[in-house]
Amino acid sequence: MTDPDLLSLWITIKLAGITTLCLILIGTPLAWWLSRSKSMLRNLVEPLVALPIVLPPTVVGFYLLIAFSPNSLPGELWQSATGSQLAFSFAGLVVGSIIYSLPFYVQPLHIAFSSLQQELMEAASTLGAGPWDRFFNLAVPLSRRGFVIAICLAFAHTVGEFGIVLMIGGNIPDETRVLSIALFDHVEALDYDRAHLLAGGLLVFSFILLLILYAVDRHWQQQRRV
Amino acid sequence: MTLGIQCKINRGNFLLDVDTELPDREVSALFGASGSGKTSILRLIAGLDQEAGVKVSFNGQTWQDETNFVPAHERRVGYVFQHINLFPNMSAGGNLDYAEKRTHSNHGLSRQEIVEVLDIGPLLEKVPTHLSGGEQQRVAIARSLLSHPQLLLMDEPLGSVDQAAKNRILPYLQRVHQLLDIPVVFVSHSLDEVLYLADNVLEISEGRIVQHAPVIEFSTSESATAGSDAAAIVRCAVEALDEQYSLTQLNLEGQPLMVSAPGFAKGDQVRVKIPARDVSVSRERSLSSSILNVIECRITSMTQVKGDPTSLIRLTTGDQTLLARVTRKSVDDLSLKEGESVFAQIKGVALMIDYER
Repeated sequence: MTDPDLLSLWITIKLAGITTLCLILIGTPLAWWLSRSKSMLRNLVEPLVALPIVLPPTVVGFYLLIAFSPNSLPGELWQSATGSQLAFSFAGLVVGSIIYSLPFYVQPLHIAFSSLQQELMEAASTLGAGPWDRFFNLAVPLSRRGFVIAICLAFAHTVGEFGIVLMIGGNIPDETRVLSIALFDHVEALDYDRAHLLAGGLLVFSFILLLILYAVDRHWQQQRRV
Repeated sequence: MTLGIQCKINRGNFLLDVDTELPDREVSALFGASGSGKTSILRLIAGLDQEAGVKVSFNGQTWQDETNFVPAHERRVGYVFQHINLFPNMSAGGNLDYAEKRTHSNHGLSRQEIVEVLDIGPLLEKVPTHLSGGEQQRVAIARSLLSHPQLLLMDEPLGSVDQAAKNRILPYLQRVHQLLDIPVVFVSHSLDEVLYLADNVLEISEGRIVQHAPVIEFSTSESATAGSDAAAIVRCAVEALDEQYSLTQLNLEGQPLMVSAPGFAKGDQVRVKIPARDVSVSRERSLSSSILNVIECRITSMTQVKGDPTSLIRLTTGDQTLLARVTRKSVDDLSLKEGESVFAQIKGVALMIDYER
């Protein structure tokens, strides 16, 4: 593999890693709120979070591009805060990925949190556990399966993202060129050998990820029964 | 008076309207049909539901009123749920650890005592799914006790276990109550459990308290005697132990009552449950009969329900009431009338007996 491809690999891992970390911080409370709240706002937020699943990535990318431009408020704020522009930057990719991968993180976790037996949480509270204690020492361990699925999906989905990256990140070799873009470039250039390497690599990576996911899940199911 | 609850909650077509105080150190039963509001009351006491129009106070502290709400985790209330809910990701012992780590005080029973009383020592290593329903409920009760609650609430604690397990757990619950120094409130729709465990009974019907009485009075009230499981609770003192026949002689208003009740000592004040179906009535004291217990008493009332072949007779001796369920045919054959003096024959000596608290 040549240097530019290795660089793309590094950018991709960095992007997926940072995105997943941000999603854990943003998506976890969001999923918790969605599973507990009885407010009317929930009815609005839930479809909003799911929107990236049905929207073409290019549509999401287009609106993000407009929002990131220095002429719009978010882009302007970012520029005045950091001195660099958000569009066509790595930071811009992270923001785009968070939005695009949000449903893939939030939904499995929302399901896990919703299926938590309410009586278990109530039992914990009568045993003297406050809300934070109940969340970290009961809800999180009981939802670990949901967490693993959510993290794997968010990471894998960010790795595979193409449309949005192309719209808001362009194709800047050492800044925003991720693996899926590099693969596209190789095919465009009819360089099928290198395309095979990247495509095959992504295929194997995805397969191994799912393999681990199912193995961990089976292990936990058995543990529950023992 | 330690626990006060007042609430007026309108939930669509259901009105929960309760205003009562429960005495200290006693076991109170909320008794009534399902859907009558028993569990709602218990949850309001525990702070598991927060609704307007509710006032709860305990030992002079306000737990809830118009402006204050103490959350459940700060009330130090033990709660045993109807559906067993041990944490599935921990062993039985881990469940106990969870409670022990969060307890604020350590008066009351020690972990060792609790484990012994509920007989769960051999279960602690197991995960909840490997325990039977009755075993899980015992662990759940132990867990709630380990948080050293100042009030113990139990919602149909025996509702989700089978009859055999129920019979095994009831004595454990009784022992727990004897050792604890805190008020207990439990919900039940089973007359049997209520008569077995409660000191006083609040009968709930359609969101209201329709009767609040000591269990002895409650046991012979109209609502407790309608079914086939009617039983009278009487207060007696242990008078003598007959070791030759393994019997215990009690004194019921000056008359002897022989029961099989090992473990009691002379002078103990006890409560005895005498099922109405075990009592028959005769005009003479039969001298040659295998029945040991014959109590002279007076008929105070006879209740007949149309279509029911039996009649429920209330009998008094001193100021205590016994119940007898006899056929209407016998009532007519003997031409029994209210106010007459008769002999109540009590079949069996395996009567349920417990210390008077």
